[in-house]
Amino acid sequence: MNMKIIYYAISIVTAGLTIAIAILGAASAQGKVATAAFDGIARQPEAQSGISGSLILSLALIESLAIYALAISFVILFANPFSEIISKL
Amino acid sequence: MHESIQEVIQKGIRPLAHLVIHGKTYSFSNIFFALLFSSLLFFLFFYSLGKAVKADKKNKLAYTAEILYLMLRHFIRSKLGEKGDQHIPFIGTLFGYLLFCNLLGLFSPLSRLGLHWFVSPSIDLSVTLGAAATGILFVHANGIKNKGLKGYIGHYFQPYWLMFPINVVEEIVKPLSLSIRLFGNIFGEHVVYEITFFLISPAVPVIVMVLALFTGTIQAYVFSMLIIVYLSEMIGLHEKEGSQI
Repeated sequence: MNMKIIYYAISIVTAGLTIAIAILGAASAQGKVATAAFDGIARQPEAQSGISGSLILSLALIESLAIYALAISFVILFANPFSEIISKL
Repeated sequence: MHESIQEVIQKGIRPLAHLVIHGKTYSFSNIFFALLFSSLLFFLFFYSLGKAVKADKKNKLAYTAEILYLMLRHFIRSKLGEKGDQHIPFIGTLFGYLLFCNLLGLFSPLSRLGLHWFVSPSIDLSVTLGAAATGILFVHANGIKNKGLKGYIGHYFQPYWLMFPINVVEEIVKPLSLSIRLFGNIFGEHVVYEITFFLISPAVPVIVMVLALFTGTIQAYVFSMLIIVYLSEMIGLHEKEGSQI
């Protein structure tokens, strides 16, 4: 019983940390991308349509990395792969 | 409400109908009906647009169809050039269908009233995997059609023959990353507004749904945009003409 509580506590903490660390990286990367894009637009306003298209694409590509971490934390929380083994202990 | 949060989230996918053939039971989940429903909406919308254009009427529907077509053509030509016009039907269908699928999730409060098919089909990984597989098959078929079988296989050995395993892994990862990106975004939104429904009052998720409107549209856009980018890589357009982004 004690083992189970420890296991699930560690799982929940890990799920929270997963998403927190992933978003830390993704947010700083997205900030860099947006800064560069707005610098480009401010320097050359007529290129806005082209820049904003690539901006959305690169933001989505970076965001997908955070989404992978989100998927992992969903697996840990809702479809824990080792919960059957733990429940037999 | 006497259900836990875990139950609320896992209820997203549930069997609705059962069919017994030769003693075997096949169950159809609400995702199946949501897919049918969004296909029906998609078909009705674009059928009425197409009918208005064919009849050469000058009404709102015809102008809507014209604007949509011009936007789509501009979007595809900016990546593929004039040669991309032949891919407009496929990319347009993929984009429109994913848009309808993603935005059906906005009606998911209705699923709490017993209408379980008002849920975005993209919260099931198999749906997004199917969409990604369709897109990637299209890309590879066009690669074979454009370069010939020899050129297509040669493309895996492109910079140097030692790169072969890396190229193969890249091709395998493409559909996986496409499908997990779409699934994760839409499922994340779904979980967020299910939880806000459960914890706070029914009025609060409206704020989240404005975000979901953005996410659904942008994810459909990104999905079709990535298919176009893979297509231009596969056809090798950027070597000849240089793609104008």
